[in-house]
Amino acid sequence: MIGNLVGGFVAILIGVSLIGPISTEVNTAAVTNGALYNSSAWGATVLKMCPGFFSLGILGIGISLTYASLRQSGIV
Amino acid sequence: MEIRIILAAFIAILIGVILVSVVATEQTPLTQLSKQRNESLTFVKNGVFVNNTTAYTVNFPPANPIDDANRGCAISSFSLQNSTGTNWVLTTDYTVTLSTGVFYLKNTTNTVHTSNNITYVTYNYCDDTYLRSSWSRSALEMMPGFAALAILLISIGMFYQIARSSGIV
Repeated sequence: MIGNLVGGFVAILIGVSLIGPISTEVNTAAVTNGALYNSSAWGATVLKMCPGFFSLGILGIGISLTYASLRQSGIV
Repeated sequence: MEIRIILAAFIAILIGVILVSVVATEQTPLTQLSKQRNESLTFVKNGVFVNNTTAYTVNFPPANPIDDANRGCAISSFSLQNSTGTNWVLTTDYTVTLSTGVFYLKNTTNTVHTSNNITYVTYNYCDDTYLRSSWSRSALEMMPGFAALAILLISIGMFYQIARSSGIV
């Protein structure tokens, strides 16, 4: 159980720290009146969704960590 | 396992975003008209060249007649301003033929300057790289969008992989 917690913690920590650079790059690329926005506004909108799904993936780790811990301790 | 997926997705997204920006930047001159601003024009104060007979031509006129589908491309959004930025009125102060880039000044109180003789010309023109075919431009404009879609799929794939490996889905 401790191994799962530590592994999950490290994965979440790395994941959360990587969301920032991704968000920065995406916002720079998809900025309003930027090259991408002017050529393909829907493309810019789609690109802006990337950090959200990335975050969702990190959230998945947290959920799985919680679920695994609860299952190992016999609660669920 | 999760860390490996996260790092792979991070690198892929980062590279993808940088590349899609480059693609969009390179594609812009192919699909959008170039804008010429503050092309200055000088004429004589006393109205000699403001008589509706002297033809002026913009610096970037259409390369060929407008009916030439391969090369011709009319200028657009043409406007004239005086040195303080006040717009002159089409047909009242000047006339312009967009397919040739030629314009004439009329003798009005706006055009006959008393303090200086600087006039600014603003218009959009077709650069050599501009695609004349409208469907080519439409197709090209969709390219960065689909590239962005591919990058989004990386994020969704990462989410799905993590969810599957941890038994959520």
